[in-house]
Amino acid sequence: MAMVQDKSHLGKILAAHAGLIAFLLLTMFPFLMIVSISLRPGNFASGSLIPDTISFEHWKLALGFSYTDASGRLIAPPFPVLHWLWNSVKIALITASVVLLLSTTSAYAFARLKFRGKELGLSALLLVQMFPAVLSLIAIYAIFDEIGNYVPWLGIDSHGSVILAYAGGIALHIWTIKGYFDTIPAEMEEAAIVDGASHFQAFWHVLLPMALPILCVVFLLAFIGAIIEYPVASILLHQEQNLTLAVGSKLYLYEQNYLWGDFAAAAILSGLPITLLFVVAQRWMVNGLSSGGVKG
Amino acid sequence: MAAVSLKGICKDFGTVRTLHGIDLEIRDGEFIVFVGPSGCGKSTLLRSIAGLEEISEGELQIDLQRVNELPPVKRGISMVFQSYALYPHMSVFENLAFGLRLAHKSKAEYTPQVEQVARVLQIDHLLTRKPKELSGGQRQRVAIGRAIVQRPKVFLFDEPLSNLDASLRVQMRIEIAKLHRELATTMIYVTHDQVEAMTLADRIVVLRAGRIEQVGSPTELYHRPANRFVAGFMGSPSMNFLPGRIAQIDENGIVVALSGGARVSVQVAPGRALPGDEVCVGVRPEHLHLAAGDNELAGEAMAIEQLGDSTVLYLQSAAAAEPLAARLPPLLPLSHGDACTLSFAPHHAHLFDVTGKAFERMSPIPAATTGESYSL
Ligand SMILES: Nc1ncnc2c1ncn2[C@@H]1O[C@H](COP(=O)(O)OP(=O)(O)OP(=O)(O)O)[C@@H](O)[C@H]1O
Ligand SMILES: [Mg+2]
Repeated sequence: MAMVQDKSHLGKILAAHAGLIAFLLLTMFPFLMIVSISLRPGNFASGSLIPDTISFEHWKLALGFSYTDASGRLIAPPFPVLHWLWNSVKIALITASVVLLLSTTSAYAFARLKFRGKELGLSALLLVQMFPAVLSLIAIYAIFDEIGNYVPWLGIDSHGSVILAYAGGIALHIWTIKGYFDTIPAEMEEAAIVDGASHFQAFWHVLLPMALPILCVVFLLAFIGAIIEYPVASILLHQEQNLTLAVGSKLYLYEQNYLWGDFAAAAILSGLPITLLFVVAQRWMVNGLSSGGVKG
Repeated sequence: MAAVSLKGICKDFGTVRTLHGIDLEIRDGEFIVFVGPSGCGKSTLLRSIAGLEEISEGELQIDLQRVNELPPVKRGISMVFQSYALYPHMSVFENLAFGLRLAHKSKAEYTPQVEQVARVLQIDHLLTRKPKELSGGQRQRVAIGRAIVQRPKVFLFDEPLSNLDASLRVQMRIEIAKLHRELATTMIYVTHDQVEAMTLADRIVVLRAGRIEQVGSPTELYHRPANRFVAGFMGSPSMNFLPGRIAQIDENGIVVALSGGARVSVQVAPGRALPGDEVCVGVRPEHLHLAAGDNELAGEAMAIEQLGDSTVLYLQSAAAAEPLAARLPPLLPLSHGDACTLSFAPHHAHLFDVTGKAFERMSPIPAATTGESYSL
């Protein structure tokens, strides 16, 4: 951008940068705080941002190692943190896949097919989504309790139940993907159909590859949503072995003893898969995948 | 290669009828062009033939077989879209091969076929590129190539050149004409560019509001428009219309007293017309001359357009509410406000009755044309 700019422009740029940096620091602060707490010896929530001494005791516990504290006591990891992490990742991956499958196909129907009640269905989806899941916790518990009587692997304290509950929250994803499909001209699929594709082949070979960036975004959002979700998982999962990291880390914070340091280490761990997935998915989230097919 | 036969084709969108019973016989190997004003149903008709729209009523036959219920590929058609609709995530080669791959052909089978088509269209050096790395003209070639590799019985084009600039359009037009000569396949082409229609078509179908107004060769439509709509639609600037009443009928045709006062004679067969009938005289701009003569129209120059090869004069005259357009020789020293007199020969004029139907003209279509009559 080598546009000619006014003199006062430099001042504006500086002010804008100062504002942005201040804002960035504000948003980064809680994260830095958590990192600091996890590296601090002992379990204290308060203290300076940069710890005086660095100790990896919380990280050792989180990663499943024992450590010997100052008084020579051997402290064993209280909770299977890595196992919880694995539970979380497993649930999040399956949830994201199921969500993607359901929301792309529904979005296709809403974007391309003609059927009665389409407009109504779209609005209803949003309305239902507006009802906070927390308010329906009791209902969710009751439903899965009942389901468990017939299908044990979908009952209370199963990962299946959590995934099924999460897969219900796809309304916003349907809207997002439908919005993207709407921007792709119908002529693209018509061309495929003239070329001999079935509706499904046109969807699979033409529409989906063009929508790849948005599919990545939805997958990522669903994944993050599942990793950080607490209320539903907390009432559906009970045994320590079954917990997700989000639910499990809460165990560090029991009434008499807040293990802030251990909690912080676990919290950072739970952010790890999200970061990893984001780095991988970024490759496909580039824009402009669909450009050049039509005129212009 | 196939004939296409449309029998009473109707198309409804919900409760709105868009096509009102289209009857048309398209011969094997013919180049048919659909023209008509925007929204008249050209695309809808083409898409109905393609199988992208369901036909509400009537029968469509391709190659003597009823195809109403068949999907596009099974009809043996291939279509080129106005927006090209190339698959952006595939290379040119993959774009061309997509249909063949879907037909379960092996790579060894379709590669030579794709390469041959690419050579014909001179895009063989672009096969590895993605559509976004191509120019508009190149994209258009790929879109046409994608239709050709399918070896269809009928090609359908929906305004394929309308996104190209003027010079590229002329070039592609010539190539499409050449393609038609080489492939000798039936082609159905939608356009609203008259030059495209006149130059490419064996026969032109003029549509209005979902009905066929006239079918005929370009010359036929130009010289023998069946009605006022077709007469006004073909030609640019369009035909001038002068309202009036029949004053006299004799063996040389009809004398019309124009509402503006002048009397003009028109060489048409009177049919059942009677003196006093309301009529409308039609004269094409290219048949008006700046000279005294048989049928004179006086007026004042309103605007003069110098087009280089000709001058278009817009004359405000008493004969018509709209200014009359006249295509005159180039570089005429006319200026705004000049009083002018235009004239036209009786055998050049058209006459339409009150319903817009044309009177039969006495003069034959000029030689060197092979017009056949298909008026509906
Ligand atoms: N999917 C649709 N639903 C309802 N009406 C439609 C649909 N497609 C087309 N129409 C209507 O049918 C009529 C004919 O449309 P069509 O696209 O065939 O016109 P056209 O002759 O191709 O015009 P243009 O030259 O502008 O492309 C129009 O009045 C249009 O509004
Ligand atoms: Mg159209």
